[in-house]
Amino acid sequence: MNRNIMKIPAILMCVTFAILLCCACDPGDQSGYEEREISLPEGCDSIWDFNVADDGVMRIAVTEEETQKGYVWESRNCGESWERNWCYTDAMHITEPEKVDCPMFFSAKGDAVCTVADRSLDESECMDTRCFYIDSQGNAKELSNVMPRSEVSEALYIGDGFSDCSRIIDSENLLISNKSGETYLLNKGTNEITDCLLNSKNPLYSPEAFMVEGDQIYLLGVGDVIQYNSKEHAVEKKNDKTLELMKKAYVNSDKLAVLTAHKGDFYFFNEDGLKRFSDGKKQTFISKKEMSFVPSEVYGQTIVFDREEQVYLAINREGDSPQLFCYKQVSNKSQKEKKRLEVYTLQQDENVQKLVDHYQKENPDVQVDVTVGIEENGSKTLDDAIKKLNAGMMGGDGPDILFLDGLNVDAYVENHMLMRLDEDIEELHTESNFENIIDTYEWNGELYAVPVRFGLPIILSPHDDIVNAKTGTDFVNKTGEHQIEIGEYDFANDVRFYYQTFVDDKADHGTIDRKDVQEFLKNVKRMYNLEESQDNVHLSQLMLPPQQTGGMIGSLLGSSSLELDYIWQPQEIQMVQQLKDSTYGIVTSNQGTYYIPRMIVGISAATKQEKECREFVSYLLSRQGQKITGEAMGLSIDESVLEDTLQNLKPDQAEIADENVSRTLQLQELPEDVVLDFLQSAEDADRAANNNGTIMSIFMKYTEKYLNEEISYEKAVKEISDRLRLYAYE
Amino acid sequence: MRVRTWKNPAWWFLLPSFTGVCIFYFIPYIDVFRRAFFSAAGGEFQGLDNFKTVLTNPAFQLAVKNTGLFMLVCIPLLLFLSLVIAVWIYRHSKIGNFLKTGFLLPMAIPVAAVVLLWRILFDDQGLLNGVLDRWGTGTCEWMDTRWAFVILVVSYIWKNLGYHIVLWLAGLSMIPDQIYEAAQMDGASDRVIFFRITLPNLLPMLFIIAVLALLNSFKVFREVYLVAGNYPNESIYMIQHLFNNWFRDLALDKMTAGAVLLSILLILLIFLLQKAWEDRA
Repeated sequence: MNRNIMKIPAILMCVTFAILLCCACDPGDQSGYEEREISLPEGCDSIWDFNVADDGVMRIAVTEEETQKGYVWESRNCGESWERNWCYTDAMHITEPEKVDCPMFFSAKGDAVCTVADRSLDESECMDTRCFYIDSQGNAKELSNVMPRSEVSEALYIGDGFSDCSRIIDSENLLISNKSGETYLLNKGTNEITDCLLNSKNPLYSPEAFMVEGDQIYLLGVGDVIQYNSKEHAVEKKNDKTLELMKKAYVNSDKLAVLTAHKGDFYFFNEDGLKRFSDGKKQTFISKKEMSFVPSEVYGQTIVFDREEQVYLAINREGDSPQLFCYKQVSNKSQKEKKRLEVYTLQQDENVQKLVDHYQKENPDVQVDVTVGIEENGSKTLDDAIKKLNAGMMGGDGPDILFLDGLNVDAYVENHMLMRLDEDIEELHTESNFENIIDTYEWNGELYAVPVRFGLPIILSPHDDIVNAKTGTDFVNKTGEHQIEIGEYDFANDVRFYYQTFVDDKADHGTIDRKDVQEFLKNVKRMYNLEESQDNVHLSQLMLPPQQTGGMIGSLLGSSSLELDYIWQPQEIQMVQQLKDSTYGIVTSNQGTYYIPRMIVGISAATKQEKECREFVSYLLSRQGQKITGEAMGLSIDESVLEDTLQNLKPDQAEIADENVSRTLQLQELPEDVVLDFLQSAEDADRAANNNGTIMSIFMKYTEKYLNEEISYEKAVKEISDRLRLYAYE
Repeated sequence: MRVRTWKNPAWWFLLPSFTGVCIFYFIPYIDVFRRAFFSAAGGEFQGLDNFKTVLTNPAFQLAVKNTGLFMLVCIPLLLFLSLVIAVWIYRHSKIGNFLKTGFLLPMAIPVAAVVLLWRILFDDQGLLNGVLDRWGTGTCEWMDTRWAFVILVVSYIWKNLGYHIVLWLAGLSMIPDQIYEAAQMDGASDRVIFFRITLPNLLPMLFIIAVLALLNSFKVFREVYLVAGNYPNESIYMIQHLFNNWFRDLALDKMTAGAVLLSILLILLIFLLQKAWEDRA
């Protein structure tokens, strides 16, 4: 009897261990995709459309680099050779093809619809977009615009002309939309509108947000998402859960995404790779790791499936040749086991992602996964994210590499959670490195964390006394004296800038007192009085470090005579040179000249992949790693790389805009003395701006309440001081 | 006949949970205890320095003071109120059962909902201030004044009252009816029955209920943290806030020393309670 009873706990324990074992051995996804590049006809400038017909014939519409004419090419041997078929720009009688864009869309039968759009940036000089139907022999017929005048609200109105996108639906009908997004079916024979799919109350989110598969047309509207049956001329389904999810991803994409429908599922390419939306769920279909290029650096043009379920992806590149890739499903079991590195970043950071993507391409045998502490959906607070990271690191389950921006670097160093870097990473000792920046986080002569980029906070103004202000009060006094108006959209960033420059240093060292808090609140209130709208302010969501440029653009447009900003990109120095009446200065307070360390990298002391981690950091610090430039990468810590970049900046034009005005800005090459001056300024920067988000959140919470008149000045001073005192005691 | 220890099935049943307790509590506690004597940076032996640092830390003193005050106010109040209501419910079984469910409801409400309720009620622009404003009595910043402590106490009692009532009811049902009948036949009044029969018979239950109330009092931190963040008004800055912030800042030496001190204090409290209970028994 006793023996039987004793079996029960034994069985229970066995079951528990078995469940734990099953959970630990998650088999994961067993299959992946193998990429093959299909060579394109020589001299291609950009791809407009690609298609694989049912008989396997590939068709591609490309612009020829030399003549800028558009040609349709065909291949009957899976892209091994191409045969030039017809010139569609000639068919449409376009005499100056270099001045127009010709987005083209094939049907499965080989005929196409093409819109001809003016390339000029200046909208006042633009011609109306024209639309052509081209049959499979290359004969073009222009369609007249019979769409009724747009009735969308003023906020949504863009234009009545054809949008860049249209599709062939069947042998009779085309799908067209106007620039404001109202969408119609047009009979190409009679040139009459046969149905309105999305009207002025629910236009397309963007004229490219639709997909066609057989009789089914899927449209992502501003209000509803719609599935329309072109045969029945009726809406089949509205607000499908999967389409809704896809719309959300489409709206949140940094770049215009490419969409396609296949066998009732939806496929979507943007900076995150190729995703599938099916049964109300979003899945990774082909991950970035399986692509030989960095998705955030290309523009997806077309996704196509052939009969064998191979996926084709046509991409264009800024200033480079287009590419066409074919992806075939393979079993992952045959693939070599990869080393895995986990990279941690507190906030979503496209720069980290870009560096990781490049490293991944250089080192295909290492798989690098990026973990973001605070996801964009905002379900986790700063504190929660830090605690989760700390728990993981203390439990030996933390990331291998940390980007420490926004984290308390000293705490990680003091607790021996980071590995020493300066012993084994040669790139840290490169002579041309900015030593002042490299050594920011030196601890007892040893380096445990290093910024791989930096930025410089600057003040732009026509008034020298503002630019040269050394204290917060001095700065606000001068701003007031010159009666400068602070932009509504810049105010929150300006408060953060003020805090980070004139307050944070003291706060972080625990030397801040009640008087400093009073001064901060008084000065911010005075800044608020200079703000144009006097609406409610929102400061409590601000994070450190600042992620992007604030409002330099506004100053360049002449709408403000004060901008507090950061130089993160070499091109911004070109932009600053365009200021005719204003000067700029790197912020210098009584403590010194400021710089902002960015992408502060450290290796977890508990990592099991020490060699790979060191190689990763070496890559970031190498000339090659430093040369990877991005939209907001920050400045290189290698002076020679930065100098090269500055010297090689070409004349260019940038389209700039603030909330009211937009215009094209001509950028010029930087003169030698400007480059040298700037490098000297970077060398002289001797004060790293702190990135302590905890103290800033205390300041901002009560400053917001005070400015919005929810609490009195005395109350705000008391609340901030009480909490700072607690923080200092802790 | 004496059964050899390892052959006693009770030990085998205990083994799985004992293994868990060892892995997740005892062994980490030993590590925490060890760390409390070493510095976080460098790992040098510090002797009692970490304890001195913690004990002289004004944030720790404030947190201990607030937590102690909270326990001193809440636990007796909760025990008293729950006992009174439990006795009333026991005597009025018809309506009592309905009320018992009502008192238990707050326990079923998720923390997030409680937090939302706090915000609706006690925000500067909240419901309570709206009512006060309408009456013309002037509004109050409930969560940023000493009132925050009162709100915390009320909230703790509101949430835990039902649970403690149920515990008292369990104790009451264990008292044999014959004792009451005998007392009534001897002409004892309700007051006498309560003080001479009910209360002495409930004493064994008091120890368990008091320990549970003590442990539950630490859980109120979730609500405070979600409403007021990691730096609330000083009156509701609890020991858990301090540990939470130390953990964020990786102040491991202070945290371990503080944890050891707190655990010793708790063990001492429980020991004293047990001693008092045993003496009474």
